[in-house]
Amino acid sequence: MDHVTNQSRLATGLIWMGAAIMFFPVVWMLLSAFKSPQELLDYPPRLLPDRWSTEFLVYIWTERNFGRMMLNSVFVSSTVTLLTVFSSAYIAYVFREFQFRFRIPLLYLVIATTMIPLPVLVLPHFQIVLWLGWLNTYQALIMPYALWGFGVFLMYQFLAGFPHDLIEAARLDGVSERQIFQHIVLPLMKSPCVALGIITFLHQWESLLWPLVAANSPEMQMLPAGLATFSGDAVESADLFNPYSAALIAAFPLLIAFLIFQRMIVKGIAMTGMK
Amino acid sequence: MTSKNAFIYGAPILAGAFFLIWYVLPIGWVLWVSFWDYSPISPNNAPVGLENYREALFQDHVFWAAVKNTAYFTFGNVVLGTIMALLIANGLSRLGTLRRLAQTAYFMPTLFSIVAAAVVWEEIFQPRFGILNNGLYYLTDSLGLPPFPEIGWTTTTDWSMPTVILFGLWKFLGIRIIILLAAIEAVPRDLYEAASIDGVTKRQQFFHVTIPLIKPALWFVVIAGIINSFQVFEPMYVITDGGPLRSSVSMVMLVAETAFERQRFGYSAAISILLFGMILALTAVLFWLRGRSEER
Repeated sequence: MDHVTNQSRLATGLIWMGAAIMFFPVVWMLLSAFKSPQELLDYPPRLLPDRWSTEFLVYIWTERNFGRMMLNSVFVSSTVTLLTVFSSAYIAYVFREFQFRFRIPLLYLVIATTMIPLPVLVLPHFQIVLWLGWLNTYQALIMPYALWGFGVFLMYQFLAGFPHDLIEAARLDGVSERQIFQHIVLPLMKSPCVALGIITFLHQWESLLWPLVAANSPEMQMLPAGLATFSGDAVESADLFNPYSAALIAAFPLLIAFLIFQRMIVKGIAMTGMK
Repeated sequence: MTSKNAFIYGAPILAGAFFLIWYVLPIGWVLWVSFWDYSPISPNNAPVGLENYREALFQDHVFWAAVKNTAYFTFGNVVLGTIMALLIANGLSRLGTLRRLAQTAYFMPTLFSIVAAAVVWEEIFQPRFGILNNGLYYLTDSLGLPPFPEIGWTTTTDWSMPTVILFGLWKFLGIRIIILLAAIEAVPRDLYEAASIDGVTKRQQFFHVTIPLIKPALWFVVIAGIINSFQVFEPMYVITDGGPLRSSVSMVMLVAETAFERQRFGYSAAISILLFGMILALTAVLFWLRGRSEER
């Protein structure tokens, strides 16, 4: 018996050691973000800042455009999320509830699009945006992602077990189809909507390649592309520079959201498998 | 048209138009352009037949380096990542006190913006000043072991891929743990109780109760992991910039570079199609394997 408890003690120890390793980069970023760029060059590196300084954070937020990039990221990610969630719910509901021509082939088409890797579409999307004269616009960042085959599929799956009596009753009462969807169906689809909303927002917030290609002007840049460009430029220019401050600004909204809504986010991810 | 009809026909029209414009026509266009020497800013675009494919497959060693690196990343990330996530999820499910704290630590990287995380890790991996080499040196030194050598994580061709894989393991472990932990939690408790009454050890329970019952989630983690890993881009772009000497360039990175830095859209399209083909083939094989494992 002794040997079993020792083993499980070892396992618990390893779990906690792993947790510490997972967590360390977050702590390291938090502490280093408040060091001065000079202090980062001190050797050997120390864990805590000598003097807590917010100068560099303020400098990149105001002078290096990070404030504007934050605004762009929040706006584009929220818009894409709202469009994706509502259009997916609407399309999935109509495809479940009504019969019309080409219903099945269209459904297969939508599901088939989830097989296409998004990076493969960056090239043609760039060409379309070029033709439309949309480079460096919000619509270029939003439109290609306003709908997502996976989202429609997720909602369609959810609706398989939908209580149909409610809809029939409302219909007999003369409620219009749009209102049935809006006031009866949509509220009952809250959990897949939240789950899809969370993963869509995460995808958009993290997205690097498309914003890098479609929006490179300073006032249109989103956080990941702006941060990657900033950190690349800084290495080459050898300016005094604290990459942790820039990373902190880009990372903190999600980290805070995670700490507050952890349960909901984890549930959402587990439910969808995050694609 | 009545409002009822507008409501109903709006959906297929919206879906049809959107996926036609942003998915079907674009993928057709990529295929078409892959047979051209094409750039949107060049006046002399010309069809070249299979030349782009020939160049990629038989001439361009960078293409094969990218294929190799992408496969290497996928292998490392999926095999190590799945095994680690499975063991950790199992450990977490048995953790009593402070379990939520440990969970938070493991899930945190999932919500850590990938580019921001990569910037942080780029500094951690820095050979001379980075905390990783210094920490390892300090650790071995204080334990009285021979001093840890200074590893060129991002600066040597030998280490650039392992470095990117290490980052990927850290970044993508949380999501796998979340999915596997949810599956493990769903295994009925009384199965374990019955097993322990019969004298089945914890290890045997893990292999004969847990794993068979969470097989669908495991398959999901493996398949999604392979499909996503094949599209890896951000870690290389930020941490190693594909180098040194192209030793960590990935396929998606090559696609982007070829089009947007070298203005060779046709060649980039051909590489895209090859990448798409590989992902489709892998997915087909994986689904077939999964189907077979379910039959048994």
